[in-house]
Amino acid sequence: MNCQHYRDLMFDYFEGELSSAEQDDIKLHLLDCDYCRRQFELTEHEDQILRDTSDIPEISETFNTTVMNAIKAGTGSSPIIVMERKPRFRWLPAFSKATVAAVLLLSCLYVPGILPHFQNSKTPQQAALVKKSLNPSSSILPQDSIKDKTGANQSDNLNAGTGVETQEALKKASADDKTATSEQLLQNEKHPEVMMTKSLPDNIPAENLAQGNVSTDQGEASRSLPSSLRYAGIDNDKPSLYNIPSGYVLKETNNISENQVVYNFEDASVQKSFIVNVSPADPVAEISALEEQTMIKAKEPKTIELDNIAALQNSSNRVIEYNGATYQITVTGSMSQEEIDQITKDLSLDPLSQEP
Amino acid sequence: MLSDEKLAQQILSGDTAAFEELMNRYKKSIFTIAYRMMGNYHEAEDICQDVFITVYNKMYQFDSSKKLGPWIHRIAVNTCISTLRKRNKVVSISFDETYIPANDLELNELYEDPHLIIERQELKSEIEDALMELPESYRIVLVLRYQLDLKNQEIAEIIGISRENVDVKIHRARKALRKTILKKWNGGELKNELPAL
Repeated sequence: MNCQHYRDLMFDYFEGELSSAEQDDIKLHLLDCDYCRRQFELTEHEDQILRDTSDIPEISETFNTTVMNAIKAGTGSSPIIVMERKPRFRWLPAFSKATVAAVLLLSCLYVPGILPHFQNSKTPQQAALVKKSLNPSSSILPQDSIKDKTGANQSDNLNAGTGVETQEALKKASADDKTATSEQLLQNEKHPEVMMTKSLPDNIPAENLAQGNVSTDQGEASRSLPSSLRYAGIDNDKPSLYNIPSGYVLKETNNISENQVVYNFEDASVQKSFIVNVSPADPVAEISALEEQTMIKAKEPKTIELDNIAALQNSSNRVIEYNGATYQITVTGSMSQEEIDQITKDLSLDPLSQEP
Repeated sequence: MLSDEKLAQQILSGDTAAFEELMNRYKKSIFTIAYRMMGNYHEAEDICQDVFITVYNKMYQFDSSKKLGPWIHRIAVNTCISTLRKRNKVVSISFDETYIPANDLELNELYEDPHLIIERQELKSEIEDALMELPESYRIVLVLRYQLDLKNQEIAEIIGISRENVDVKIHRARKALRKTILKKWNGGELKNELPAL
């Protein structure tokens, strides 16, 4: 037999897979063949080194704690919960999940007491930075800012950027009827087709609204109005939506953060609804950081009702440029994908784009 | 002592202590796989964490009629391979030189010829380098076979191929390892003078 035959058996020899006769035959050959003997020696050392685990370091002592903390932070208390939740989200595309998360957060934000804390968590400097980033065009920034108790300029106040027209409308309404609700006031807004059902608490006098002098339900002076007003289409400093399909009315307008607004439209006659999520398409890092802060705060309430949004099956999105800023528009609704696509295509932030 | 499969049931019922017990049983073997595949302590530990988080999250997918060990090791292997592919490059680094194990200098080495010790360490280093140059599929079977001392049937269950295929793969991996070592030494030819060991 030649050397190649023995070298072919070499690995099996060290694996102990050869018969004793074969092993003896190999040993005899190795006595005569220096080259094969060295090959076998090398294989033997390879085998020892491959099995050697002495250089494997010990895993750190805090390993278990680190993993357990990561699991608690990321997945909840039990793997069973993960198992139950997963199928319910499977049909939602990725951006729909973001919208669903937005809707869930909204419900958290409307829990009394949470919103004021949420808003006051930002410093005036942060708020100003976000404002600037959201709408870089200085021409639409408020001309008459009101100073709050800390002396900081508040561009988010009711009269900020709303223009004289809205202020006068509010004052007029206040003079005509002191008990006017905010819903009635909003109907005097220059875009009467946009109706709002969620609004200020009824116990806030209208003149206080006009002066930006509103207290929170925690009793402390608020530096800004409830988000439902600031983003309800009466504030020119934030984008308003146009070219909504006929029949649909704005049921709810909510802000997820200083730079993300969610509009909920509904056509009660055909029982269809859709949600429009508007946010800057190119947020700066500071905005993301603020969103992250607010997301963390808003995560604390753990009530999750997925059934309410189960009908929102289809989504579409588009990037819209308006007034020098770029916005990401995401529409999620209960109607067909074609219908959603059409709504998304027609939506505009420019009041001039309205069809006559 | 509870079987792995019983532990899995307890984990599914929300028992975190059972999960810790599972980690204690498998973290060494998983870390060994990760360390040998990645060649870096910190990356190996990160992968080890990812593996256990995945095990926890996917525990409901585990088929309780099967053994848990191969299932966990399979997750470890897949995590390592996907991480390596994300790197999008061949790993050519040697084993972590920044970490010096406490037993690096064994007592018996103190009484051996320093020349022999150095030559042996050089050979070890060369073999480890050659191992890291092997394709992932060869490296993983060698790690499972020799570092974890698993049977070929167990490796087959982890990798999801037949036992016969594992036999062939190990054989080819050993040959490829030898070829790589020889190439390093002498342009593909075995030296006349092998290290004195």
